[in-house]
Amino acid sequence: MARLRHQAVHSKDMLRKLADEELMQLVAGGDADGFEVVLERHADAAFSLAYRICGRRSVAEDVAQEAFLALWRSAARYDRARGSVRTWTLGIVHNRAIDVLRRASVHDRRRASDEGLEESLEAPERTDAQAMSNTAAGEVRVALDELPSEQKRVIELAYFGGFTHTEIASMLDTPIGTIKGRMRLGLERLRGHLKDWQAVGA
Amino acid sequence: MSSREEDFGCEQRADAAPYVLGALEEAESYRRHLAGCATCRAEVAELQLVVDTLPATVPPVVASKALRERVLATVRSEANCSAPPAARPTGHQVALDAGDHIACPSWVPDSPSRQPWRWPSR
Repeated sequence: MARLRHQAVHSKDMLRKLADEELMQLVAGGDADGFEVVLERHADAAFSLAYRICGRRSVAEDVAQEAFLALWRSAARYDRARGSVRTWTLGIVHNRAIDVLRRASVHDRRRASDEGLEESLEAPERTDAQAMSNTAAGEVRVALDELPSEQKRVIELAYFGGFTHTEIASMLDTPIGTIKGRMRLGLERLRGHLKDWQAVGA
Repeated sequence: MSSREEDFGCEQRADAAPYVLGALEEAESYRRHLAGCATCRAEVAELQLVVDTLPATVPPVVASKALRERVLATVRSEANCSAPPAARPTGHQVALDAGDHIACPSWVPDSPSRQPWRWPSR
């Protein structure tokens, strides 16, 4: 730790020039300044995901806070070979948000999975649309919206609603095999879009 | 990696999609199955890439200053009063493109309620 601390990388500007993966090495060594830069880069994305899943600002803040503290405390387990820091962070957020949902009542969960809920609750400030809706994000959103509605529905109920495949089957009065099939078809169709824009150079 | 032909018949392959979405109730036994089934592992890896893009579809909102400050205050107090939270990783130095999060395969660390390699806990 001492060695890292005495390096010039400690100026904020220097830290901001580092890639996430390099920052995570500092964070793993207990570097709070490095953590601050990671937090700056990913706090909005983390909170946005938590808010989409939990539907309540206070709950989403708790989830995002826990997720970043988990990142801080287990940074040494981050392995760049297995994904970006952004993906890792959002994975933690998703886990925790779903855990919270599953402890909540079915009623709340159903509401949280409804589209358009954001508008009906106390809405946090939106980010500058330019800042987060980069081209890739926009395209994923469009691709999801263009899925056949029954595929989009099961994906959203599962990923954002925290429902299990059995719960979804019973909610929609549809056989479990069909639900699993819709999930697969929907994800595969999204993957097709993904490959298209990766080819363009995302 | 291409699978051998007979691998394509794995009937548990249908569980890959609900698994990566966190919706498979038998996630624990599927996780064990994955250890021995290349077909399902490949399917999970492919579909996971897609699931990793889903957070990009949510309406972007701003994390409050208060939230950032709470997190930072805790982190700074822990940084000051104790040794590093964990051993330093074995150093690799090369920077990756920080913008590549959409395309990367993902994994998720242990959290109090979780196992190391995948996130759905049921």
